[in-house]
Amino acid sequence: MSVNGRARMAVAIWLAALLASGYWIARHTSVTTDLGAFLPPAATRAQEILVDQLRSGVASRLLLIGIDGADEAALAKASSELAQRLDASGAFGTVVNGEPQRLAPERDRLFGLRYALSSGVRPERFTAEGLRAALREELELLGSPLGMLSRRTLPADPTGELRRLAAPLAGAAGPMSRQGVWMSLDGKRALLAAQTLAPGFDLDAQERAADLVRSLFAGIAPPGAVLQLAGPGLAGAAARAAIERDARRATLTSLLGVVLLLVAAYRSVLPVLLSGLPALSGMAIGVAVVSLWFGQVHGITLGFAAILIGEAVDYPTYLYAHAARGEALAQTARRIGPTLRLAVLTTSFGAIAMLLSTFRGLAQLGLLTMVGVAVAGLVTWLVLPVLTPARALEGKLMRLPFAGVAFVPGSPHRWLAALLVAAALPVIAAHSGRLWDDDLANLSPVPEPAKALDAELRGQLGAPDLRHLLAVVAPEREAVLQKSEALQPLLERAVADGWIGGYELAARYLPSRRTQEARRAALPDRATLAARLAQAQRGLPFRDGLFAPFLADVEQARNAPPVAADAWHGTALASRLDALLAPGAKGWVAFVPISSLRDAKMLGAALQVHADEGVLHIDLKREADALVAGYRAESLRLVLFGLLCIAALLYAGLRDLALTLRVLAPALGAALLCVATLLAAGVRLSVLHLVALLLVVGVGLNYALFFNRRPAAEGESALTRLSLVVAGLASLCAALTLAAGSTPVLRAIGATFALGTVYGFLLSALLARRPPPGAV
Amino acid sequence: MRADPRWPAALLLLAAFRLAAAEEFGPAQLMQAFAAIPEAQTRFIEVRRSDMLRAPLELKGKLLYQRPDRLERHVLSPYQEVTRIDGDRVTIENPARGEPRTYSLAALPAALALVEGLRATLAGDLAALERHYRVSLAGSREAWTLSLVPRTPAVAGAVSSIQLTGSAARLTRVEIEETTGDRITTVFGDR
Repeated sequence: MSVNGRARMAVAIWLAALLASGYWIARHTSVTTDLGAFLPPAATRAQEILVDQLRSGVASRLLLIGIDGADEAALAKASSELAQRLDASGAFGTVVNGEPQRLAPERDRLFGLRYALSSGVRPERFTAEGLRAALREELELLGSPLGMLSRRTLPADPTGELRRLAAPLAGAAGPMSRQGVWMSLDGKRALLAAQTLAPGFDLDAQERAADLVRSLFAGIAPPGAVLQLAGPGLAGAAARAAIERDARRATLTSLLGVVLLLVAAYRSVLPVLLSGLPALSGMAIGVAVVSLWFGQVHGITLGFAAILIGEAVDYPTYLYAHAARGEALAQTARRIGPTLRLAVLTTSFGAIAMLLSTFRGLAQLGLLTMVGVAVAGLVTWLVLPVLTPARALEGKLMRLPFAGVAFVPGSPHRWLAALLVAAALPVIAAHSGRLWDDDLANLSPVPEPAKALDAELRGQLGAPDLRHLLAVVAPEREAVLQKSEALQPLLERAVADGWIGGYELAARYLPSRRTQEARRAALPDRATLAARLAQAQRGLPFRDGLFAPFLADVEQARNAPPVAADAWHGTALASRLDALLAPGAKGWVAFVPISSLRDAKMLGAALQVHADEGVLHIDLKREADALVAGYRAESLRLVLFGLLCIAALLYAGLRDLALTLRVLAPALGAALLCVATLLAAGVRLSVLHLVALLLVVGVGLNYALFFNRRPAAEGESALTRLSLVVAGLASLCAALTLAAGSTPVLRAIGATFALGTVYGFLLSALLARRPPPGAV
Repeated sequence: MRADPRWPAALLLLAAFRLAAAEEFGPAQLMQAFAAIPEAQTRFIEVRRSDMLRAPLELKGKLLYQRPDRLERHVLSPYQEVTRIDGDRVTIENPARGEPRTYSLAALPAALALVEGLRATLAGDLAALERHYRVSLAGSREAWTLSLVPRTPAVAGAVSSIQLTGSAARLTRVEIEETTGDRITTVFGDR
């Protein structure tokens, strides 16, 4: 095949691949926003439960609502109306604002099922003595200021089962109430809490729920009133929005900067436009491959990928800047081909580290970088020379307009490089104890103001940060319920002794069959009960026949079918029960959230007895930290593996150990300097910095490779320096716009990358091979 | 026979003079008098009449009040029980039942209204009273009756009316009528 034919073939294949990718993306690619993909994978059962809880647990569904900016009466009215509308919308499970009548349907259902649900239903309670004690208690309650509470239910419930059941429901603690609704202590904010039906990880649904609250509020808002919203799902949505906003802004600003830079270098628009082709092709084909491989593409992968592939924008710069006056671009491509190929291959295979990650988000990012960079390289090498008209580059700069001493490769100041790197080592050593940031919260891209509002509303609502929970595991639902019931005496004691503030239990609303049967067996038949009751009433002032409804209800409970799993359908407790008791891949799990754990040691010791029976105590914070640390360790191993791949590739391409080291040294030195600078600035490293460092090494290698090229022709060194300065400035421009963003995640990557670009360029220039005399 | 028109006119004039001379005495003045008292302690006898009971339930005990929102009710016979109300929290301590129980008044609007009927009166907080009730006052400073009728449906579902009787800044009797027909009469006084 002729040279021309091969070129045409390359263009044809490129176009076909682009079309196929476009088709695939349009037809099959779904972009997910499940933050779970960017949560590390779980190594242990406890971590699995943690990740599950973070994604869709009770706590993840909480929406905290505050209303500010009106007087107390107006706030109370707004709170009540908003709660009603939220209920009516059907998008929320429970909506609470302190108004007691909100729990009326649940109370009614509890009342109907009291003899199946109450732990007070025991044989001794229904003996004559037991009943007499209960009646005495009721009489005393009747005489108390709260007498009216039991007054109405007394004839049907003289043993006070409803009271026992409803106490945990209402919750003794809670925010202060003013005007009948929850308010902050200063009375300036009405407080509500809603539980979304959508799981926390479904950010689109969370955003819709928040929008719904906003629009419903707008319909009832008193003048001047302001709505405050917070919650884990909403925070995720806010983070995503901030990332998107930052990424878009950074893309636009850096695009503008790069375009200006290239126009200044090429003095023509066409090559600037063509410069975008390799990166865009890489992105399109990369996304198609990722969606083919993983079934979907994560929104955040797309955001980060744009940055990673940004390196690919440099490739056309190397090509165009290297073109000598009057030289055919195909000739230029052949000339720089080996160096460009090595630059592309090293970056592409550096990304293998991410591809091998067990963390799905990173693996996607790795694959996209690998494919995208390779495609961009191929397009630059094979397609651009065909597409670029011969005259497009006629007016471009042929050398740097400000060539100074610093840009002469192999400067006599190379000791400076050694000194810089030598200075970095003690800095890193000094911080070796606090090198890593393993707090999952700091990995979260949630903007600071959203975090602060969340903490404030949580404090005012008295909603504790859910940190501790017990997980009870068994193959069957009945077994899980029985096991969690076995925990109840221990938990009751823990509450009484003050080790814990409280707990929640699925078996409260859905007792095991065994327990239900035991309770049923504790209820005497009608005749026996009537006789015992008559005996119990002797000497007490209750009117004869008053307790007829009690006799009827007990008889009914004796013959009622057991409480079924769907008994709470249509009430707020349905979603609560779903969150507390769920079938999993490995059987059923019942969660027992523990609030305000004050004595972890005592609880731990008490739980020892149950340790072998599938009861796990999970400290979500500790598990999260362990998860991040484990995952960071994996990433570090993979990054080192990626570096080894790069080194091997380099040696295979250069076939010169000294040259390989000469190319590797500035890239690795730049990474070390980056780490030292970040640490000295008080930053702790996270996995995101590791990703950015991989990028730093990739870019540093490009610089070193080109700086160390043996110039084949007269004046080529000047062209190389031109291409490197243009490429370096373009990278710096992109990195700085990212570093200036408001999202911590992107800022970390941007700042690391900006530092890396500067260090990489500097070290590559200082350590490069000295050009032969006369070549400058 | 035609009545002499001069008599009613003279009576009206007399009444007008009498009114002008009398100092003004309304709920605000009564509340002012209570507001001046930082704390109070008194014995009480409380009788509940209910169609659930064959005979009235009679309790004896003492009541303590401390500004602005603390109330303690000690039942001394026929059983022992202490109810402490502090702001929003109600704690009931009954030795026969073991652990004290704590409730939030906010969650119990009827109970809150009932507590406020007594507590806000002792505090001299007319605004708090009027939040729950329509307030009217009859009688003189020396012998007054304060009538409270619930405003909100949540309260009206439980309480029909409350009548407080007293003399100057001293409460002598509270009569509560519940919607169930139960009547609770409490007589205060150190006897």
